[in-house]
Amino acid sequence: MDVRREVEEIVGARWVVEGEDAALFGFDAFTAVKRRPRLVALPADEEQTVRLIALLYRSCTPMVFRGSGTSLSGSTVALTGEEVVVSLTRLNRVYSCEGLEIEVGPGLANVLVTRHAPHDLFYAPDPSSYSVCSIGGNVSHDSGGIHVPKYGSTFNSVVKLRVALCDGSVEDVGGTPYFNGANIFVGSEGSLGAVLRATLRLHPRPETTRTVLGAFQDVASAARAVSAIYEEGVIPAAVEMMDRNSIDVVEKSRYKAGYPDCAALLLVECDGYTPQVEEEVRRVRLVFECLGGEVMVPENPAESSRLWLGRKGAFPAMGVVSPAYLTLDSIVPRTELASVLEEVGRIAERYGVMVANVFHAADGNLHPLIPYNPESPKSLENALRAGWEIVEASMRCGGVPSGEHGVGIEKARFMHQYYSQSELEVLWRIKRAFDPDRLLNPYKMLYENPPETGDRVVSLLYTKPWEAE
Amino acid sequence: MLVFVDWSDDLARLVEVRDGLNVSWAKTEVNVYPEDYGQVASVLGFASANNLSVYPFCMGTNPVGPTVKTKIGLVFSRLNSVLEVSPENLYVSAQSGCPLTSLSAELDKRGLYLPTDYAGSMGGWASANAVSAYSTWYGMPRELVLGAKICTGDGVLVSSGSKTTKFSSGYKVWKSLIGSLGWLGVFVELYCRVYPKPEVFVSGVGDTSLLNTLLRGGLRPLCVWVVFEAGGREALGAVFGGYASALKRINTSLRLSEGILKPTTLEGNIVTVASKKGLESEYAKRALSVLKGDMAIAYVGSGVVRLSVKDFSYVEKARRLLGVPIIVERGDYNGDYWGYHPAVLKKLKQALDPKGVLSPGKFCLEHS
Repeated sequence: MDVRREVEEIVGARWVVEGEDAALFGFDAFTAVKRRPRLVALPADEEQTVRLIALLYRSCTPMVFRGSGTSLSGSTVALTGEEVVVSLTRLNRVYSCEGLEIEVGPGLANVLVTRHAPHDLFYAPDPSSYSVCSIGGNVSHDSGGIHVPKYGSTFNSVVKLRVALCDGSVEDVGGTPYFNGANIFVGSEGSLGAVLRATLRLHPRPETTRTVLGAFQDVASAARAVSAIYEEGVIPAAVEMMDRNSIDVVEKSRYKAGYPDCAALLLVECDGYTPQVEEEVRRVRLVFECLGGEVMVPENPAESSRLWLGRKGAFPAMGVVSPAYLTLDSIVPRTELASVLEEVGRIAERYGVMVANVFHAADGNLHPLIPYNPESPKSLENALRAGWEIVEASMRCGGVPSGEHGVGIEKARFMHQYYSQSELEVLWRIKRAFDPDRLLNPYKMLYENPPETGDRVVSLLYTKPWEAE
Repeated sequence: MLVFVDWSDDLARLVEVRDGLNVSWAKTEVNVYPEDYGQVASVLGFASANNLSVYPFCMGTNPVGPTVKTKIGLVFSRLNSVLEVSPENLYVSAQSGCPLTSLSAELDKRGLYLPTDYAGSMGGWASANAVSAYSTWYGMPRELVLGAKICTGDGVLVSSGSKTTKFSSGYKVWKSLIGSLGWLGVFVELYCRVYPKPEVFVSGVGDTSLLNTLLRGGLRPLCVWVVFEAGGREALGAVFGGYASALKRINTSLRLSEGILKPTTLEGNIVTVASKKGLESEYAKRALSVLKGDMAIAYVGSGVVRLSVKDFSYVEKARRLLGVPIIVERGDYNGDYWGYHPAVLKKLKQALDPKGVLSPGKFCLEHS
C-alpha cells in the first residue's frame, strides 16, 4: 500500500508536507526534543480527517494529532519519525452559538472562541498561549490558565465532543447528565482518538472586574496569603504568584510592568456583582496588609492591564536570559506551596540553574521556568534533571506531575512512579480498547519500553527514575 | 432469612453476607457489606471470576434507570466516614457511603459547604452526576469531584485524579465513572471541591421575564431554576450567596420577592431532558407540552431539565421532536431508558468491567 499516494488522494497533494518542510511540524513548545515526522497531512474537514485516520490505521501507520503545536509536554512530537502528523488546523470553523454553548472545530485558536461569542459571554479557559493554541489541543491536554480558580479547567467547559475513532467511526459524546463518553477524551493527549468538534460552555461576563497586587518580602507570607484569601470567603477569579527571579526577568523585558521590588508578588483578580467585588477587594487588601504585604489596587483598567501584561509576558520574557527554557507544571496542595518553593530553591542551587517561578498560586500549580543553552546537551540535561527533582518534590507533598500541560514526552517517566503497576494496567486497558494496535500518539503518556530513537535526550526522558542512568 | 446459594459460602469468607433486596428499583439474591476497600475489591474480583452480577448501591434514595436484577448487592453503607476536611485547600475526602447530611454537618463546622441539595450518599451523588439548583454556578458532580479511589468491575483498586484542583497526569478514569451509575466501576472514596460558606444566602422568587438578566447580566446567582406546571403557571427561583453588606439590596433591585420557590425536586415518574445550556426554560416548555407532563423544573445553566410525567407514552416522540437526549430517569418503562448508546461507552465497559458483571442491563442492553 502506497500510504503517501493514498493520503494525497484524500487531502490533495498541496496539503501533504514532507522532507525538510515537515521538520517544522517536528517540535512543539517542549523544545528539548525535535524529530522530523514521516509525513504531515492537513485535512480540510471532518470527512477527510476521518478517512485519513481510517487509512493510516488500516495501514498500521502511527499518527500524531496536532493543532497549533504549543504543547509544553511534547505530546505532539513525532517521536520515532515513523508517525504521520495529522494537522487539524484547517478544521477551524465556528458551527453554532446558542444559549451558553458554542460549537467549534479543533483547529480554532482559543482566543477566537470569545471573539465569536455574543458580547455578554466569554470563554473562560485561557492558557498562556491562548492567542495561538488550538481548542483541540486544549481539550487533549485539559489546559488551564489563570482563571481556573473560579471557572475551572478546559474539562469544566467541555459540554460535548465529536470524536473520530481509529476504525473510521465518528461519535458524538457528552451533553448528557448520565453516561458521558466525552469525559475520557479530555486530557487523553490524542491517544484514544481525534477531536473533530467541541461544544464549549460560555460564561456571562462579570459586571465588574478588579485587580489587587500584593508585594511581599518573603515567599512564605505570599503563600500564606493565598489560603487566607479563601478563609475570608473570597472566591477570586485568579491568583497568580511571581517570585523575585521572574519579576526581574519581566522588568528587563518589553513586558515591563513596574512591579515593586519584592521577594514575591501576588496578582489577584476579583469579578462578579459589583458590591460583592468591592467587598472582596477590601478583604484581599486586608489579608495582604495583615501578612506584611504592600498593596496596590489599580484604579483604572489600563493600570490593571499593565500589571497583567507583565504576568502574561513572563514566559516569553525568559528570552531575556536564555534562548530556551523548560516549563514544568506539577501541582501541589496550596498549603505546601511555601515548602515546595523552598525546595525548588535548594534544587536550583544544587544544579546551578536560575529557576524563575511564575504560577497559578490558587491552584498550587507551579510553573518553574528553567533556562538552558540549546547548543549544549550538558546544559539541557542539567535542566532536565533539576526539573525531575522538582516534580518528585511535588509528588512527595501530595502533588501530581502535571496540572495542565499533560504528560506527553516530558513526564512519561513519572507515570511509572505516580501509578502502581495495577493502576497502569487499567490505563493500558483503556488505551487498548480504543487503540488496539497502539498507533495513536505512540509513546506519549503510556509506554512499556522506551522508543528506540538513538537520541540521547529521548533516552534520558524515558529512563524510569529508579533505573541506573 | 438468608437464602444460601452455591457461591454464597465462598463469598461469606470474604465479607459479611445478608439477605438480598427485593424492591422496585433493584432485586438482588444476597447483599454484601464491605468494611474496607480491600473487601470491595475482593467481592468484585470474586464476582468477576465467577461471572456473578453485582449491583452497587448505598441508601437507595435516588435510583435512576431500569430495575436491575443481580446475584449480589454491593452495599456501601459501612464505608461512611468523612476522612479529611481541608479548609486551606478547599477539599473534602470521604468514603462513598458517607451520607451527604453527615458530610454537610462536618463542613458546616469549618465554615464550608458542598453546593448540592442531593439527599443520599456521596457515591450515589457522584454516580448519578446529580443535578441540583446549585448547578447554575457550581456545576454538577462532574465538575466538583477532583479525584477518587475507584474499583473496577474485576476488582482492581485505582487512584485517579487527586485532591488538587487540576489534574492532567493520565486518563480521567474517575470522571468517566461520574454519571455512569456504577455500571463502569464503583467509587470507594471521593475527593471533592468545597467552598467557603457565604456569609448570607439571599433567595427570591420572581417571574420568568427576569431569566435573561439573571443568566447573562453578570450578577452571578448561585442558583436559578424555573418551575413550569401543566396548567401554564410558571415561576422562577434564584439564590445569591455572598457578603451581607453586598447583597442587602439585590432582591429589591431585581424585583424579586423574598422566599424560596418550591419544588426544587420531583416525585413519581421522572424524565430528564439534556437541553442546551442556557436554554433550559425553552426546552422545559417544549418537553412539558410534548411529553404531556405535570411539571418541569429547568435547572438554569446546567443543561438539565427534569419533568414529572403520568406515563412514558410520548418519550420516543419527544426524542424525535426535541433532538436531544431524553432519559427515563425513574419509573417502569418498556422502551429504551436512555436513547443513546455510544460505542465509546462500550469500549470503556470493556476496559473497566471486562466480564460485564456490574449492573447488567442498566445501560446498554447487550454488553459486547
